[in-house]
Amino acid sequence: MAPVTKETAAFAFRGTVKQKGAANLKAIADTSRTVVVTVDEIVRSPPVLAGFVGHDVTVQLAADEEVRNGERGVFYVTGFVFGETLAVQSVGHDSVPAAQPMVAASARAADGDPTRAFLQTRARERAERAAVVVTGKVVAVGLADSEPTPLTATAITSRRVSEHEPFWREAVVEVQAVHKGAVPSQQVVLRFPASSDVRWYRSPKFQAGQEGVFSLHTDQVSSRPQFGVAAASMAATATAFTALSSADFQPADHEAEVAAVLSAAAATV
Amino acid sequence: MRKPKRAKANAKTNAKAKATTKARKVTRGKAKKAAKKATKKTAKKAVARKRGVRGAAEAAASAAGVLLVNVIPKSLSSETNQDSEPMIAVNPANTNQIVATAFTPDPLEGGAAPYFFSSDGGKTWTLNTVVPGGDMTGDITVAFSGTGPALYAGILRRDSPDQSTRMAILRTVDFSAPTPMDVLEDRQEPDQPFAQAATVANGSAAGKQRVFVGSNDFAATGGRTATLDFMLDAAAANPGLKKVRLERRSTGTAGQDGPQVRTSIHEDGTVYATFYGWRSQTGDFGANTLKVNADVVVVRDDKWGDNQAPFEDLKDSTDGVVGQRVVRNVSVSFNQTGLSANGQQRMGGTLSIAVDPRSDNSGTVYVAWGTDEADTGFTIHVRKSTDRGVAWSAGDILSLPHATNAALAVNSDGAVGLLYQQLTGTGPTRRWETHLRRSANGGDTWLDLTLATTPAATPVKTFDPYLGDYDHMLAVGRDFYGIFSASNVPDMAHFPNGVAFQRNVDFDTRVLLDVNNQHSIPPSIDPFFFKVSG
Repeated sequence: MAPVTKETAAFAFRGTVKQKGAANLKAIADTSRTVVVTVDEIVRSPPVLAGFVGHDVTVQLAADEEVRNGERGVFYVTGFVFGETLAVQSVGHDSVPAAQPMVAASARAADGDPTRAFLQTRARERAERAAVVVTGKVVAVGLADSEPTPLTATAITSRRVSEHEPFWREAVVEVQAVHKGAVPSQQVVLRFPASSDVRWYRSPKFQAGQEGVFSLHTDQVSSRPQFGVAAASMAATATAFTALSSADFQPADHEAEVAAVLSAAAATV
Repeated sequence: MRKPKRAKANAKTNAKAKATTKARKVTRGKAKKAAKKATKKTAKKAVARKRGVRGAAEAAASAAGVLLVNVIPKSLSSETNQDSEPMIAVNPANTNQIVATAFTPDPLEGGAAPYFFSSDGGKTWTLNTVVPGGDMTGDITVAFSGTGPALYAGILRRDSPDQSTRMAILRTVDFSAPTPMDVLEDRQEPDQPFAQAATVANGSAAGKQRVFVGSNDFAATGGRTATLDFMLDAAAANPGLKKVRLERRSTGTAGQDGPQVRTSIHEDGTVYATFYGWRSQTGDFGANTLKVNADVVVVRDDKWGDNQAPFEDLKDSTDGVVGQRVVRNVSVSFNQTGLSANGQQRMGGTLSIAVDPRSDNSGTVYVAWGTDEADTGFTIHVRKSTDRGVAWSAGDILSLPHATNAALAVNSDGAVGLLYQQLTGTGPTRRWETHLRRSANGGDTWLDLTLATTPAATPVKTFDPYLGDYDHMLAVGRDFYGIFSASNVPDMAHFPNGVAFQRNVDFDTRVLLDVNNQHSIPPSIDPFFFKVSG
């Protein structure tokens, strides 16, 4: 897994250093690298922590990070310890003026909603890692090839029964616009797990008629040798894709947002 | 600082809970006075009164001996995860130190999954994100080393490179340290790892930490998938992992064993393991109609597995093959997804084993397993052996209809406990009741303690399994420690022996509240820790 950076940290907040060498969580015994910071404003956050404005949190500083009491900054953090209050691991911080352009841009893009800003960050990460990003519409969904069918005596011993069985499906996506990468035809095949098991439940389940922006990753997971019925018209050599993260699909009205993110990313390369 | 309105409600509720306790004490006091008064009347009446007083006192004492705590920390009051499939480990050298696990994601979606830990005997809990392999596990079980804060875990990593499962066996020298656990083993294919551990007390190996991780390893050849990984010196830099395939019979048309491989360790070096030896199957897993015929098999090693042919010390009294079949040809549904008729819980069998921990009692062992019955649906059966697993009670010493998630433990008095979850009622009034049965006489009679009774239809599941494919209980000394998952609606009627929440709740309005005690949070499934004094 890629290391967390300021750009990808799930939780970013503007805060004021209240006390160095301290912690407000009893589970933190070693306070040599921790500071207590008051959260003044949240820039981005998953929903569960979006209500922490006004709370004091313990921040474990990064290896070479220094702060002073009373310092105001924007902190980029990952999870650390969650107890009667919150302790987080810093991946770095910026001064408020230095971070202001990022904070303003994030607020603008997310309408000031830190949860939406978090989801946008996740979508951007996935789009940047995808082989292909397209806007499209699911025109068909069917069983993937070799999908288990009702068992016969001879078939039984050839496959396992596991509660973590993914139950692969194939969605045929009609491509309307390509934002990243190249597709050889107007249709691409997207494999997804239909399983509701804990291992697969977070992966999007696609349905015919669904429209939006798809971050497509070359399928290295399903081990399916060929296409199933829904994708039977595809060339046997066509690439199959997956979109296993909830951030791999964005509703159609997010198209401009994704395109802008990818343009910005391309411009920095 | 002025308390927010909701915080006041919480404080009021806590006060109310204390008042209830006080009321109980007052009632007991009044009852005692009444009994004393009665003795001044006729002896006959006094005896009758006294009987009534004793009954009330026992009920109050029972409630007083129960600690039940929702483990979600206050800082995560806004969470709505389905924290199902819980497991617990207690440090026997310091029972204030407890670790609990569930399908709980890292709230900040980092690269490590969390476990909960307590340093005060389970009264308060903290989430520690130190489990490598992704922000959430596919399965996780934990065990303390037996003599200190070292903790072992068997997990399914989320970051498998393909669709197969990826098991890791992990270690940390200090469960409370916020540092990632070390990876001792990491391989594709095993499913449902179940970790247990102990430290050798005597002899030449004294002090060595021994870890046993059962799994259903699809990498096994010939469909004999029930497997045990074990390490005889798990604390060493090179723990010397060993692996033994437990299944020695044909799995027939099933082509595999069941996912549950459970172990129980006695300090004298006796280690039992049990698994479902699948023999045949009918129906279709994808269509949720799969039924499996299986044997419940017990294997044993008398020297920690430290011999040339580990886990071959118990041979079947009928066919002479390694592994005594406690019961043969039982039927088990193996669901892909949970049905509303089954309280949203997917069924796939349940299995537990517990050895009597007393010195010279390693020959006494209990097994619980689940079956499908025509009359009683998914049903738990419990049987007992007193000769090291050779002969088993002819019939069940306990049978529980519509029950699953069996977890057995035996305390230092030899009292056996069974934790289980039972579906009651019909239609929308179905409830999941979580019970602890205890028997001080080897299973002749049982006390029943209801820990929770929660609606089975709400919350609606977000994934399978709804409550978990297992829960867990263990005993340290005379006390039983356990964990189960259930609906977290803060309704005292759901917890007849009391409950404490760390997360913000309002018992008066029976709603969960966010971290600021301002907005309601929808119900979800949470893990509940309990300690019941023996």
